[in-house]
Amino acid sequence: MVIYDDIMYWLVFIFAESHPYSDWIRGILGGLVIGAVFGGALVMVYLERKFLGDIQSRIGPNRVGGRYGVLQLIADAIKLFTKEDIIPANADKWLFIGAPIVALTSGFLMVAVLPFDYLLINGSYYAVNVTRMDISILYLEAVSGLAVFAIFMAGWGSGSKYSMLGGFRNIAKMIGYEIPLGVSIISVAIMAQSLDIVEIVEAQDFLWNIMIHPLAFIVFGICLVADVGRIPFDQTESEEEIIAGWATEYSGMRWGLAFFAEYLHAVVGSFMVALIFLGGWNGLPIVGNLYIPGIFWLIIKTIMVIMFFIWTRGALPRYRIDQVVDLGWKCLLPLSLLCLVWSTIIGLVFG
Amino acid sequence: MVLKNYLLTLRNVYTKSVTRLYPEEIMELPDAFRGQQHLDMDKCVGCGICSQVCPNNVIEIVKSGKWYPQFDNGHCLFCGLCIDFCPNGALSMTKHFELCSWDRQGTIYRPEQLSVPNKAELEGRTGGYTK
Repeated sequence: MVIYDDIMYWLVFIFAESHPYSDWIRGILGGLVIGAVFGGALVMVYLERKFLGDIQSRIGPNRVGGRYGVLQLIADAIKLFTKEDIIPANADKWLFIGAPIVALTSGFLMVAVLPFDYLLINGSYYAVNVTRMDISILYLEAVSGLAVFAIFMAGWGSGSKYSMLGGFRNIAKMIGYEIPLGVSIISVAIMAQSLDIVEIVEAQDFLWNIMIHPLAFIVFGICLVADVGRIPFDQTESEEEIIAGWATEYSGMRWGLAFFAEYLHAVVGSFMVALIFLGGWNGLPIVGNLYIPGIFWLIIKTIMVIMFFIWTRGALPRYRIDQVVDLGWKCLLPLSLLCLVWSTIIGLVFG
Repeated sequence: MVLKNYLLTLRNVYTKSVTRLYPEEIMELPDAFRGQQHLDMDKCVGCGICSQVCPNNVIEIVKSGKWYPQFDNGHCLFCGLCIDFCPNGALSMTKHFELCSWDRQGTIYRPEQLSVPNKAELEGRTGGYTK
Protein backbone atom coordinates (compact mmCIF):
# COMPACT_ATOMS: atom_id res chain seq x y z
CA MET A 1 0.00 0.00 0.00
CA VAL A 2 2.89 2.32 0.76
CA ILE A 3 4.37 1.67 -2.68
CA TYR A 4 1.04 2.42 -4.29
CA ASP A 5 0.81 5.70 -2.44
CA ASP A 6 4.38 6.63 -3.37
CA ILE A 7 3.75 6.01 -7.05
CA MET A 8 0.51 7.90 -7.01
CA TYR A 9 2.05 10.83 -5.08
CA TRP A 10 4.87 10.99 -7.58
CA LEU A 11 2.49 10.96 -10.53
CA VAL A 12 0.20 13.56 -9.09
CA PHE A 13 3.19 15.67 -8.07
CA ILE A 14 4.35 15.69 -11.67
CA PHE A 15 0.88 16.56 -12.87
CA ALA A 16 0.31 19.26 -10.35
CA GLU A 17 3.68 20.98 -10.36
CA SER A 18 3.88 21.43 -14.14
CA HIS A 19 7.00 19.36 -14.47
CA PRO A 20 9.04 20.08 -17.65
CA TYR A 21 8.25 16.61 -19.02
CA SER A 22 4.72 16.76 -17.70
CA ASP A 23 3.09 16.44 -21.12
CA TRP A 24 5.15 13.41 -22.04
CA ILE A 25 4.49 11.65 -18.80
CA ARG A 26 0.82 12.52 -19.07
CA GLY A 27 0.78 10.97 -22.52
CA ILE A 28 2.54 7.84 -21.32
CA LEU A 29 0.14 7.57 -18.42
CA GLY A 30 -2.75 8.00 -20.80
CA GLY A 31 -1.38 5.13 -22.88
CA LEU A 32 -1.03 3.03 -19.74
CA VAL A 33 -4.59 3.77 -18.72
CA ILE A 34 -5.81 2.84 -22.18
CA GLY A 35 -3.82 -0.39 -21.92
CA ALA A 36 -5.33 -1.07 -18.53
CA VAL A 37 -8.85 -0.52 -19.81
CA PHE A 38 -8.02 -2.73 -22.79
CA GLY A 39 -6.91 -5.39 -20.35
CA GLY A 40 -10.09 -4.79 -18.41
CA ALA A 41 -12.11 -5.45 -21.54
CA LEU A 42 -10.15 -8.69 -22.06
CA VAL A 43 -10.91 -9.74 -18.50
CA MET A 44 -14.53 -8.89 -19.10
CA VAL A 45 -14.70 -11.09 -22.18
CA TYR A 46 -13.20 -13.99 -20.23
CA LEU A 47 -15.49 -13.40 -17.24
CA GLU A 48 -18.45 -13.20 -19.56
CA ARG A 49 -17.71 -16.48 -21.26
CA LYS A 50 -17.09 -18.28 -17.99
CA PHE A 51 -19.99 -16.81 -16.02
CA LEU A 52 -22.38 -17.18 -18.94
CA GLY A 53 -21.31 -20.81 -19.12
CA ASP A 54 -22.22 -21.26 -15.47
CA ILE A 55 -25.56 -19.56 -16.00
CA GLN A 56 -26.38 -21.77 -18.96
CA SER A 57 -25.32 -24.96 -17.12
CA ARG A 58 -22.26 -25.58 -19.23
CA ILE A 59 -18.55 -25.26 -18.62
CA GLY A 60 -17.29 -22.49 -20.88
CA PRO A 61 -13.71 -22.23 -22.18
CA ASN A 62 -11.73 -25.13 -20.76
CA ARG A 63 -8.99 -26.22 -23.15
CA VAL A 64 -6.50 -23.49 -24.01
CA GLY A 65 -4.31 -22.56 -21.09
CA GLY A 66 -5.21 -25.22 -18.61
CA ARG A 67 -8.42 -26.38 -17.02
CA TYR A 68 -9.96 -22.91 -16.93
CA GLY A 69 -9.27 -21.85 -20.51
CA VAL A 70 -7.47 -18.66 -19.54
CA LEU A 71 -5.66 -18.36 -22.86
CA GLN A 72 -8.73 -18.95 -25.00
CA LEU A 73 -8.92 -15.25 -25.81
CA ILE A 74 -5.37 -15.25 -27.11
CA ALA A 75 -6.18 -18.20 -29.34
CA ASP A 76 -9.23 -16.33 -30.61
CA ALA A 77 -7.16 -13.21 -31.25
CA ILE A 78 -4.62 -15.24 -33.26
CA LYS A 79 -7.50 -16.69 -35.25
CA LEU A 80 -8.92 -13.24 -35.92
CA PHE A 81 -5.56 -11.81 -36.94
CA THR A 82 -4.85 -14.58 -39.41
CA LYS A 83 -8.26 -14.53 -41.04
CA GLU A 84 -8.72 -13.01 -44.46
CA ASP A 85 -9.59 -9.33 -44.46
CA ILE A 86 -12.61 -8.99 -46.70
CA ILE A 87 -13.98 -5.66 -47.87
CA PRO A 88 -17.20 -6.21 -49.83
CA ALA A 89 -17.21 -5.05 -53.45
CA ASN A 90 -20.08 -2.61 -53.07
CA ALA A 91 -18.99 -1.30 -49.69
CA ASP A 92 -18.07 2.32 -49.14
CA LYS A 93 -14.44 1.53 -48.42
CA TRP A 94 -13.46 4.42 -46.19
CA LEU A 95 -16.61 4.30 -44.11
CA PHE A 96 -16.19 0.54 -43.80
CA ILE A 97 -12.60 0.85 -42.62
CA GLY A 98 -13.29 3.88 -40.44
CA ALA A 99 -16.23 2.54 -38.47
CA PRO A 100 -14.34 0.26 -36.03
CA ILE A 101 -11.72 2.95 -35.56
CA VAL A 102 -14.36 5.53 -34.65
CA ALA A 103 -15.98 3.04 -32.30
CA LEU A 104 -12.67 2.38 -30.51
CA THR A 105 -11.86 6.10 -30.47
CA SER A 106 -15.14 6.79 -28.72
CA GLY A 107 -14.19 4.30 -26.01
CA PHE A 108 -10.68 5.68 -25.62
CA LEU A 109 -11.88 9.27 -25.44
CA MET A 110 -14.17 8.27 -22.60
CA VAL A 111 -11.19 6.94 -20.68
CA ALA A 112 -9.53 10.36 -20.77
CA VAL A 113 -11.68 11.87 -18.04
CA LEU A 114 -12.30 8.85 -15.84
CA PRO A 115 -10.90 9.54 -12.37
CA PHE A 116 -9.43 6.54 -10.58
CA ASP A 117 -8.51 7.90 -7.19
CA TYR A 118 -8.45 11.04 -5.12
CA LEU A 119 -5.33 11.79 -3.13
CA LEU A 120 -4.41 14.27 -0.43
CA ILE A 121 -0.99 15.73 -1.18
CA ASN A 122 0.50 18.65 0.74
CA GLY A 123 -2.89 19.66 2.04
CA SER A 124 -4.79 19.70 -1.23
CA TYR A 125 -6.65 16.99 -3.11
CA TYR A 126 -5.70 15.77 -6.54
CA ALA A 127 -7.72 13.43 -8.73
CA VAL A 128 -5.80 10.69 -10.51
CA ASN A 129 -6.99 11.02 -14.07
CA VAL A 130 -5.55 11.93 -17.42
CA THR A 131 -7.54 15.13 -17.86
CA ARG A 132 -9.69 16.99 -15.44
CA MET A 133 -12.53 18.95 -16.93
CA ASP A 134 -15.28 20.86 -15.21
CA ILE A 135 -17.87 19.37 -17.59
CA SER A 136 -16.42 15.89 -17.66
CA ILE A 137 -19.78 14.15 -17.30
CA LEU A 138 -21.22 15.91 -20.33
CA TYR A 139 -18.03 15.09 -22.19
CA LEU A 140 -18.42 11.42 -21.27
CA GLU A 141 -21.93 11.39 -22.63
CA ALA A 142 -20.97 13.23 -25.78
CA VAL A 143 -18.09 10.97 -26.76
CA SER A 144 -20.07 7.89 -25.86
CA GLY A 145 -22.62 9.16 -28.37
CA LEU A 146 -19.93 8.96 -31.06
CA ALA A 147 -20.29 5.18 -31.01
CA VAL A 148 -23.73 5.65 -32.59
CA PHE A 149 -22.06 7.27 -35.58
CA ALA A 150 -19.57 4.43 -35.78
CA ILE A 151 -22.36 1.89 -35.95
CA PHE A 152 -24.22 3.87 -38.55
CA MET A 153 -21.01 4.25 -40.57
CA ALA A 154 -20.62 0.49 -40.48
CA GLY A 155 -24.25 -0.03 -41.38
CA TRP A 156 -24.20 2.37 -44.31
CA GLY A 157 -20.69 1.61 -45.50
CA SER A 158 -21.11 -2.14 -45.67
CA GLY A 159 -23.51 -1.88 -48.57
CA SER A 160 -25.64 -4.70 -47.20
CA LYS A 161 -29.30 -4.63 -46.24
CA TYR A 162 -28.72 -6.37 -42.94
CA SER A 163 -26.03 -3.92 -41.94
CA MET A 164 -28.28 -1.08 -43.00
CA LEU A 165 -31.14 -2.40 -40.89
CA GLY A 166 -28.81 -2.74 -37.93
CA GLY A 167 -27.62 0.82 -38.34
CA PHE A 168 -31.17 2.15 -38.60
CA ARG A 169 -32.22 0.20 -35.56
CA ASN A 170 -29.31 1.61 -33.63
CA ILE A 171 -30.23 5.17 -34.52
CA ALA A 172 -33.90 4.56 -33.64
CA LYS A 173 -32.91 3.02 -30.32
CA MET A 174 -30.27 5.52 -29.34
CA ILE A 175 -32.39 8.60 -29.94
CA GLY A 176 -34.84 7.16 -27.47
CA TYR A 177 -32.22 6.21 -24.88
CA GLU A 178 -29.65 9.00 -24.92
CA ILE A 179 -32.27 11.42 -23.59
CA PRO A 180 -33.17 9.51 -20.41
CA LEU A 181 -29.48 8.71 -19.97
CA GLY A 182 -28.63 12.39 -20.12
CA VAL A 183 -31.49 13.47 -17.90
CA SER A 184 -30.68 10.89 -15.23
CA ILE A 185 -27.05 12.03 -15.22
CA ILE A 186 -28.16 15.65 -15.01
CA SER A 187 -30.42 14.86 -12.06
CA VAL A 188 -27.40 13.42 -10.24
CA ALA A 189 -25.29 16.40 -11.23
CA ILE A 190 -27.94 18.71 -9.79
CA MET A 191 -27.59 17.01 -6.41
CA ALA A 192 -23.82 17.30 -6.51
CA GLN A 193 -24.11 20.84 -7.89
CA SER A 194 -21.37 20.13 -10.39
CA LEU A 195 -20.84 18.58 -13.81
CA ASP A 196 -17.37 17.46 -12.82
CA ILE A 197 -17.33 13.70 -12.25
CA VAL A 198 -14.69 14.10 -9.52
CA GLU A 199 -16.93 16.41 -7.55
CA ILE A 200 -19.91 14.13 -8.11
CA VAL A 201 -17.97 11.29 -6.55
CA GLU A 202 -16.77 13.53 -3.73
CA ALA A 203 -20.38 14.46 -2.98
CA GLN A 204 -21.06 10.76 -2.30
CA ASP A 205 -18.65 10.74 0.59
CA PHE A 206 -21.32 9.91 3.15
CA LEU A 207 -24.32 8.60 1.18
CA TRP A 208 -23.98 7.05 -2.21
CA ASN A 209 -26.23 8.24 -4.98
CA ILE A 210 -27.82 4.80 -5.27
CA MET A 211 -29.28 5.29 -1.79
CA ILE A 212 -30.42 8.87 -2.27
CA HIS A 213 -31.56 8.46 -5.83
CA PRO A 214 -32.36 4.81 -6.70
CA LEU A 215 -34.69 5.77 -9.54
CA ALA A 216 -31.94 7.56 -11.43
CA PHE A 217 -29.74 4.51 -10.89
CA ILE A 218 -32.32 2.22 -12.47
CA VAL A 219 -32.97 4.54 -15.40
CA PHE A 220 -29.26 5.09 -15.95
CA GLY A 221 -28.52 1.37 -15.73
CA ILE A 222 -31.16 0.41 -18.29
CA CYS A 223 -30.12 3.21 -20.64
CA LEU A 224 -26.47 2.27 -20.28
CA VAL A 225 -27.16 -1.33 -21.25
CA ALA A 226 -29.00 0.00 -24.29
CA ASP A 227 -26.19 2.44 -25.00
CA VAL A 228 -23.57 -0.29 -24.91
CA GLY A 229 -25.84 -2.50 -27.01
CA ARG A 230 -25.81 -5.65 -24.94
CA ILE A 231 -28.60 -8.17 -24.45
CA PRO A 232 -31.51 -7.42 -23.88
CA PHE A 233 -30.92 -4.34 -26.03
CA ASP A 234 -28.81 -5.74 -28.84
CA GLN A 235 -31.42 -5.46 -31.56
CA THR A 236 -28.74 -3.84 -33.73
CA GLU A 237 -27.06 -7.20 -34.12
CA SER A 238 -29.77 -9.73 -33.39
CA GLU A 239 -28.65 -12.77 -35.30
CA GLU A 240 -32.08 -14.38 -35.59
CA GLU A 241 -33.49 -11.46 -37.53
CA ILE A 242 -30.70 -9.58 -39.27
CA ILE A 243 -27.68 -11.96 -39.29
CA ALA A 244 -25.27 -9.84 -37.25
CA GLY A 245 -26.77 -6.41 -37.89
CA TRP A 246 -24.21 -3.73 -38.58
CA ALA A 247 -21.33 -6.20 -38.11
CA THR A 248 -22.55 -8.60 -40.80
CA GLU A 249 -19.94 -7.77 -43.43
CA TYR A 250 -17.01 -7.51 -41.05
CA SER A 251 -14.53 -10.31 -40.72
CA GLY A 252 -11.16 -10.94 -39.18
CA MET A 253 -9.59 -8.29 -37.02
CA ARG A 254 -11.90 -5.54 -38.26
CA TRP A 255 -14.74 -7.41 -36.67
CA GLY A 256 -12.46 -7.99 -33.68
CA LEU A 257 -11.95 -4.24 -33.30
CA ALA A 258 -15.67 -3.54 -33.48
CA PHE A 259 -16.35 -6.30 -30.97
CA PHE A 260 -13.64 -5.00 -28.71
CA ALA A 261 -14.94 -1.45 -28.93
CA GLU A 262 -18.24 -2.74 -27.61
CA TYR A 263 -16.58 -4.38 -24.63
CA LEU A 264 -14.44 -1.32 -24.01
CA HIS A 265 -17.60 0.71 -23.97
CA ALA A 266 -19.15 -1.72 -21.52
CA VAL A 267 -16.14 -1.54 -19.20
CA VAL A 268 -16.07 2.26 -19.27
CA GLY A 269 -19.84 2.28 -18.76
CA SER A 270 -19.40 0.08 -15.69
CA PHE A 271 -16.79 2.53 -14.41
CA MET A 272 -19.34 5.30 -14.92
CA VAL A 273 -21.97 3.43 -12.90
CA ALA A 274 -19.45 2.77 -10.14
CA LEU A 275 -18.34 6.40 -10.12
CA ILE A 276 -21.67 8.16 -10.45
CA PHE A 277 -23.92 5.91 -8.38
CA LEU A 278 -21.87 3.52 -6.27
CA GLY A 279 -19.65 6.07 -4.61
CA GLY A 280 -16.54 5.63 -6.75
CA TRP A 281 -13.43 5.41 -4.58
CA ASN A 282 -15.34 5.99 -1.33
CA GLY A 283 -15.05 2.81 0.66
CA LEU A 284 -17.47 1.15 3.00
CA PRO A 285 -17.07 1.97 6.70
CA ILE A 286 -16.98 -1.78 7.57
CA VAL A 287 -13.21 -2.04 7.10
CA GLY A 288 -12.60 0.22 10.10
CA ASN A 289 -9.12 1.66 10.31
CA LEU A 290 -7.67 -0.60 7.64
CA TYR A 291 -6.44 1.55 4.81
CA ILE A 292 -7.53 0.38 1.36
CA PRO A 293 -6.63 2.51 -1.68
CA GLY A 294 -9.56 4.13 -3.42
CA ILE A 295 -8.73 2.56 -6.75
CA PHE A 296 -9.26 -0.84 -5.15
CA TRP A 297 -12.79 0.06 -4.12
CA LEU A 298 -13.47 1.49 -7.55
CA ILE A 299 -12.30 -1.66 -9.32
CA ILE A 300 -14.29 -3.91 -6.98
CA LYS A 301 -17.43 -1.92 -7.68
CA THR A 302 -16.76 -1.90 -11.40
CA ILE A 303 -16.34 -5.66 -11.46
CA MET A 304 -19.61 -6.04 -9.61
CA VAL A 305 -21.36 -3.87 -12.19
CA ILE A 306 -19.77 -5.87 -15.00
CA MET A 307 -20.91 -9.12 -13.41
CA PHE A 308 -24.41 -7.71 -13.21
CA PHE A 309 -24.26 -6.86 -16.92
CA ILE A 310 -23.22 -10.41 -17.72
CA TRP A 311 -25.90 -11.80 -15.45
CA THR A 312 -28.44 -9.65 -17.27
CA ARG A 313 -27.25 -11.08 -20.53
CA GLY A 314 -27.78 -14.59 -19.26
CA ALA A 315 -31.13 -13.85 -17.65
CA LEU A 316 -33.09 -11.79 -20.14
CA PRO A 317 -34.22 -12.47 -23.68
CA ARG A 318 -33.85 -9.96 -26.49
CA TYR A 319 -36.84 -7.67 -26.90
CA ARG A 320 -38.34 -6.64 -30.20
CA ILE A 321 -37.13 -3.33 -31.57
CA ASP A 322 -40.56 -1.68 -31.27
CA GLN A 323 -40.83 -2.81 -27.65
CA VAL A 324 -37.45 -1.31 -26.96
CA VAL A 325 -38.30 2.02 -28.53
CA ASP A 326 -41.63 1.99 -26.66
CA LEU A 327 -39.82 1.37 -23.39
CA GLY A 328 -37.45 4.23 -24.07
CA TRP A 329 -40.02 6.86 -24.95
CA LYS A 330 -43.04 5.82 -22.89
CA CYS A 331 -41.40 4.54 -19.74
CA LEU A 332 -37.83 5.68 -19.27
CA LEU A 333 -38.27 9.27 -20.42
CA PRO A 334 -41.10 10.04 -17.93
CA LEU A 335 -39.16 8.20 -15.22
CA SER A 336 -36.06 10.24 -15.91
CA LEU A 337 -38.10 13.44 -15.71
CA LEU A 338 -39.36 12.14 -12.37
CA CYS A 339 -35.70 11.77 -11.36
CA LEU A 340 -35.22 15.43 -12.15
CA VAL A 341 -38.19 16.31 -9.94
CA TRP A 342 -36.85 14.15 -7.10
CA SER A 343 -33.39 15.68 -7.18
CA THR A 344 -34.93 19.14 -7.29
CA ILE A 345 -36.98 18.28 -4.20
CA ILE A 346 -33.88 17.01 -2.46
CA GLY A 347 -32.06 20.15 -3.45
CA LEU A 348 -34.85 22.37 -2.13
CA VAL A 349 -35.28 20.50 1.14
CA PHE A 350 -31.70 19.68 2.06
CA GLY A 351 -29.74 22.01 -0.16
CA MET B 1 -40.91 -11.74 -14.71
CA VAL B 2 -37.53 -10.14 -14.96
CA LEU B 3 -36.68 -10.87 -11.34
CA LYS B 4 -37.72 -14.50 -11.78
CA ASN B 5 -35.33 -14.79 -14.69
CA TYR B 6 -32.51 -13.42 -12.56
CA LEU B 7 -33.23 -15.87 -9.75
CA LEU B 8 -33.51 -18.80 -12.13
CA THR B 9 -30.19 -18.05 -13.78
CA LEU B 10 -28.52 -17.54 -10.43
CA ARG B 11 -29.71 -20.97 -9.37
CA ASN B 12 -28.16 -22.41 -12.51
CA VAL B 13 -24.77 -21.07 -11.49
CA TYR B 14 -24.76 -23.33 -8.45
CA THR B 15 -26.01 -26.46 -10.16
CA LYS B 16 -23.77 -28.98 -11.86
CA SER B 17 -23.32 -28.27 -15.54
CA VAL B 18 -25.13 -30.57 -17.92
CA THR B 19 -22.22 -30.73 -20.37
CA ARG B 20 -19.17 -32.88 -19.79
CA LEU B 21 -15.49 -32.53 -20.58
CA TYR B 22 -15.76 -35.40 -23.04
CA PRO B 23 -12.40 -37.09 -23.49
CA GLU B 24 -11.68 -36.94 -19.78
CA GLU B 25 -15.18 -37.79 -18.68
CA ILE B 26 -17.38 -40.30 -20.50
CA MET B 27 -21.10 -40.33 -20.00
CA GLU B 28 -22.77 -43.31 -18.39
CA LEU B 29 -23.87 -45.60 -21.19
CA PRO B 30 -26.92 -47.89 -20.97
CA ASP B 31 -26.39 -51.66 -20.74
CA ALA B 32 -28.07 -52.13 -24.12
CA PHE B 33 -25.53 -49.82 -25.76
CA ARG B 34 -24.30 -51.17 -29.09
CA GLY B 35 -20.58 -50.69 -29.29
CA GLN B 36 -17.79 -52.83 -30.62
CA GLN B 37 -18.51 -56.55 -31.00
CA HIS B 38 -17.00 -59.16 -28.72
CA LEU B 39 -16.37 -62.72 -29.87
CA ASP B 40 -16.19 -65.70 -27.58
CA MET B 41 -13.95 -68.01 -29.61
CA ASP B 42 -14.78 -71.06 -27.49
CA LYS B 43 -18.48 -70.83 -28.30
CA CYS B 44 -18.18 -69.92 -31.96
CA VAL B 45 -18.70 -72.78 -34.37
CA GLY B 46 -18.00 -70.81 -37.54
CA CYS B 47 -21.45 -71.40 -38.99
CA GLY B 48 -21.41 -68.05 -40.87
CA ILE B 49 -25.00 -67.06 -40.04
CA CYS B 50 -23.76 -63.69 -38.81
CA SER B 51 -22.12 -63.07 -42.15
CA GLN B 52 -25.35 -64.00 -43.96
CA VAL B 53 -27.64 -61.71 -41.95
CA CYS B 54 -25.31 -58.72 -41.93
CA PRO B 55 -27.02 -55.98 -43.99
CA ASN B 56 -23.79 -54.18 -44.84
CA ASN B 57 -21.59 -57.17 -45.54
CA VAL B 58 -19.34 -56.24 -42.66
CA ILE B 59 -18.59 -59.77 -41.60
CA GLU B 60 -16.30 -62.07 -43.47
CA ILE B 61 -15.62 -65.62 -42.26
CA VAL B 62 -11.88 -66.08 -42.18
CA LYS B 63 -9.74 -69.01 -41.21
CA SER B 64 -7.49 -68.62 -38.26
CA GLY B 65 -7.13 -72.11 -36.89
CA LYS B 66 -10.86 -72.72 -37.16
CA TRP B 67 -13.33 -70.48 -39.05
CA TYR B 68 -14.25 -67.28 -37.31
CA PRO B 69 -15.99 -63.99 -38.26
CA GLN B 70 -13.87 -60.95 -39.08
CA PHE B 71 -15.50 -57.52 -38.75
CA ASP B 72 -14.86 -54.46 -40.90
CA ASN B 73 -16.32 -51.80 -38.60
CA GLY B 74 -15.68 -49.11 -41.21
CA HIS B 75 -19.15 -49.74 -42.57
CA CYS B 76 -20.83 -51.51 -39.66
CA LEU B 77 -24.12 -49.88 -38.64
CA PHE B 78 -24.22 -51.58 -35.23
CA CYS B 79 -27.70 -53.01 -35.81
CA GLY B 80 -26.95 -56.05 -33.69
CA LEU B 81 -28.45 -58.61 -36.08
CA CYS B 82 -25.32 -60.79 -35.94
CA ILE B 83 -25.66 -60.96 -32.16
CA ASP B 84 -29.38 -61.81 -32.38
CA PHE B 85 -28.84 -64.56 -34.90
CA CYS B 86 -25.79 -66.21 -33.35
CA PRO B 87 -27.00 -69.76 -32.43
CA ASN B 88 -24.45 -70.28 -29.66
CA GLY B 89 -24.37 -66.81 -28.14
CA ALA B 90 -20.75 -66.36 -29.10
CA LEU B 91 -21.15 -62.73 -30.18
CA SER B 92 -22.00 -59.87 -27.86
CA MET B 93 -21.62 -56.10 -27.84
CA THR B 94 -19.42 -54.01 -25.58
CA LYS B 95 -19.73 -50.37 -24.61
CA HIS B 96 -16.58 -49.43 -26.45
CA PHE B 97 -17.38 -46.77 -29.03
CA GLU B 98 -14.14 -44.87 -29.76
CA LEU B 99 -13.38 -46.78 -32.95
CA CYS B 100 -11.63 -44.14 -35.08
CA SER B 101 -8.47 -45.14 -36.86
CA TRP B 102 -5.96 -43.47 -39.12
CA ASP B 103 -6.44 -45.78 -42.12
CA ARG B 104 -9.00 -48.19 -43.52
CA GLN B 105 -7.05 -51.22 -42.39
CA GLY B 106 -7.41 -50.03 -38.81
CA THR B 107 -11.16 -50.57 -38.84
CA ILE B 108 -10.85 -54.26 -39.70
CA TYR B 109 -10.92 -56.44 -36.59
CA ARG B 110 -9.51 -59.93 -36.68
CA PRO B 111 -11.28 -62.57 -34.54
CA GLU B 112 -8.29 -62.65 -32.19
CA GLN B 113 -8.65 -58.92 -31.61
CA LEU B 114 -12.36 -59.27 -30.90
CA SER B 115 -11.98 -62.13 -28.46
CA VAL B 116 -9.65 -60.41 -26.01
CA PRO B 117 -10.58 -57.37 -23.92
CA ASN B 118 -9.62 -54.40 -26.07
CA LYS B 119 -7.35 -51.57 -25.01
CA ALA B 120 -10.20 -49.26 -24.10
CA GLU B 121 -11.75 -51.87 -21.85
CA LEU B 122 -8.46 -52.38 -20.10
CA GLU B 123 -8.19 -48.63 -19.56
CA GLY B 124 -11.73 -48.56 -18.23
CA ARG B 125 -12.94 -46.31 -21.02
CA THR B 126 -15.95 -48.36 -22.05
CA GLY B 127 -18.63 -46.05 -20.78
CA GLY B 128 -20.26 -46.15 -17.43
CA TYR B 129 -17.02 -44.65 -16.29
CA THR B 130 -17.01 -41.23 -14.67
CA LYS B 131 -14.21 -39.43 -13.01
